[in-house]
Amino acid sequence: MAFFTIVMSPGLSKPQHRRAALVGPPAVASTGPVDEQMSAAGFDRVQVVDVTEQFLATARAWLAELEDGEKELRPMLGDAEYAQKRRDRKEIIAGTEEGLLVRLLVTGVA
Amino acid sequence: MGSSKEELKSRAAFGETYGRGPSALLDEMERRVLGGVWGANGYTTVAEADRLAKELSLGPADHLLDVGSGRGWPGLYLAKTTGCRLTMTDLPFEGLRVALDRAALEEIDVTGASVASAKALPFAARSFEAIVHTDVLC
Repeated sequence: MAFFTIVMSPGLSKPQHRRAALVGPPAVASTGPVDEQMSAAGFDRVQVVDVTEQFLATARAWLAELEDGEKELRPMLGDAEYAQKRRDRKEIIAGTEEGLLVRLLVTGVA
Repeated sequence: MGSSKEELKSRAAFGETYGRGPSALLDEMERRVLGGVWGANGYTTVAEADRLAKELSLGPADHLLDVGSGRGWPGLYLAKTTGCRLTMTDLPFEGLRVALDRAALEEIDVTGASVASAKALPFAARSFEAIVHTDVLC
């Protein structure tokens, strides 16, 4: 099994945890380190690689595209959806830059 | 198992997005950001999909399960580039329909597609040699 996942950084304070849950993807608040979850699920040779820098670059590129294409995208998506998408991208970037979120490549063998 | 409130919300939101027709503008944005056009709007680039293929040593003898495949990213791409067989699952039917249409058009070996929650996959243990998902269970 191999997958990318966005999770909360370890060791967050309660306020940071709340903010990470707010700005991260819907299920970002899953509990426990991912390597331990994988082991508990029966996977061996679990490896976890931090790919947060690449993720930040991709998220920033999406935001730039969204802002550059605003004139065409607003009519296509509608004002509310466009604003939501822009807000979501900005928040996940901010949360990652603040060190609240990390993106990981996880592999394991069952 | 019934769907959770979060799953229902996600299904509705993504279903609407996946149900939209093609857009040259969105395709071009995706190409510039992710490096390909597969109807994706997440964070997994083509280079990262290639890394998944390498990590899993995917090849024609493998049957791959893509959990949360959306419109087929990255499962269709991996099947096309490695020759593996593919089964896809996701909550919104609309994305799977788009993916199946593309698979038929490009003759990509898709064994099945299933509307299913990642929390209750409808497959027996050891049905697949490899499993991927990209920012779904996060």
